[in-house]
Amino acid sequence: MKISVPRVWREIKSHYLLEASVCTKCGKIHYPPRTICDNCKNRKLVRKKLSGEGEVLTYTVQYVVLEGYREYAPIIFAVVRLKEGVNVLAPLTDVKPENVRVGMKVTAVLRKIAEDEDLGLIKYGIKFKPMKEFRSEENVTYESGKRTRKNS
Amino acid sequence: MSKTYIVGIGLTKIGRFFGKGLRELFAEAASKALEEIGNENIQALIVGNMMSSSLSEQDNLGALLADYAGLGKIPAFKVEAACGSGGVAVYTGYSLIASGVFDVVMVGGVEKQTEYPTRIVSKALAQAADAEYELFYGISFTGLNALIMRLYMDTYNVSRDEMSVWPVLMHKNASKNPYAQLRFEVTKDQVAKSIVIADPIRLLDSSPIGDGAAALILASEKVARKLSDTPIEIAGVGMATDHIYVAYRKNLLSLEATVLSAKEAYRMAKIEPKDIDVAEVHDAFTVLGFINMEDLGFSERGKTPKLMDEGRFWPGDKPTVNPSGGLKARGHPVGATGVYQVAEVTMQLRGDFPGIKVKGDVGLAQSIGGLGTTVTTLVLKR
Repeated sequence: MKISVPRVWREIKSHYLLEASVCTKCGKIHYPPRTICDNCKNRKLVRKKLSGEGEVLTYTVQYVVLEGYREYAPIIFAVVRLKEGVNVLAPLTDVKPENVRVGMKVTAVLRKIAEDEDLGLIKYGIKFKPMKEFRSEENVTYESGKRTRKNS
Repeated sequence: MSKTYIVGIGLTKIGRFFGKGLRELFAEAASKALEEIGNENIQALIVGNMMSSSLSEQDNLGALLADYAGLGKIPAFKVEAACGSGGVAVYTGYSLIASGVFDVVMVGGVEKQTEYPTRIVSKALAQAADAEYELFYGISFTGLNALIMRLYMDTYNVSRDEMSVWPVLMHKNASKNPYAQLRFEVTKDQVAKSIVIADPIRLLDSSPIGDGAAALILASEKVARKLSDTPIEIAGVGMATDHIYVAYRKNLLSLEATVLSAKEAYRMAKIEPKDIDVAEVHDAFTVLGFINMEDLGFSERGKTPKLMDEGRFWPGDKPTVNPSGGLKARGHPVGATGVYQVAEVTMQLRGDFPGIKVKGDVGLAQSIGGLGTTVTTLVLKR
């Protein structure tokens, strides 16, 4: 993979700090940030840092990875619904695939995403990690697409 | 506005053709289509293709293919909308005829994928997503669809085995289609035991990587009957786009661009979903097949796997879905797929499809680029 320094640099605030844009007219929060509100067409938007706290809406464990990401396989990706009601797609970290659950509470941390194969440049970004360590005796199991609660 | 007809078609088999590149594949399909109309002159060429640039280092595809296929120094260009390129090419060709700019155009689709290992092809395919906010993290296209599949199964309480009816039916249909890439049947058990690509998507939930080319000749009302005894009308067209960042969408279990494009195509053709006899839908992955049926108005949300298990949408039912075998088993030569679908529906309405035949007068073809980011829906009538 090739990494371009200016390309990574200009997205630093949205990638490192989870900066969104907020419409000054209708209040809609956009992530990824935009310059024109897609709700009311207003062109005055201000930047706002998101909390990074939310829960897993859905996830996948990707075994067949893309060129440049081989050393990270398998990668767990999730759509996380943040407290602000905004959805963010990012990898999960510090959790084993078998311990990931829909509804799991997570928080954003800054981590390495990938490395340039020739120059060794590194791109960073956010990943989500569980708010608390998963304990196997917790009462949710996930089998064959059916979420069931034990003891109920 | 002129009515627009399909008067000629040509297809290659889909597969791994190490001896053929973009130009050879395309010329083969174009020649077959030209033979159907007695080698009449073509006024313009529109080519659907996604990855000639990223995989074959070939831009300026329109000029290359018009030249190589012997079409002369005509206007020629490529249209790109990721996996939906073929559908958008047909949409563009339709517009050029309907508007009166041309009387006879060729709409082609071609994709050459099998030059490189899967991880490189997957990277090129993943460029259909948001480069800065999805591809940035290394998520593949299969990965994005897996997020939707889990949500679908979770929300509607559908089991792995219930989902597997889609690939089972598609492989069964494709086994009769001489153009199909995967001409063998599979069982639910084989689907459930195939390797995991991106959990819960398994190998047999996924459309294969393959090469192929398709060509259509579109003609205006003025000349259509001179070129073909069985012209098929493009009676309705619709196209819509959606947020490319999938997580931004309010509802992840419906592709709004399908709903909007179908609504427009149905309105134009003055039909309802119940009038459709045969449909070719864009089932790049099992879950998309089900969601498409729901978005196109053929079944209720979350009910499609169960209905299909009971025999709905199989050959003999109305509509019959993907008698070709769909992307799942006919194959998915990305930018050509939308053109294949229209050619297949055309053959069904003409009565000369060489696989499973569906009797009827009204057909539909739906083509998706990205995860529902660009969708075209076309209604064809005999």
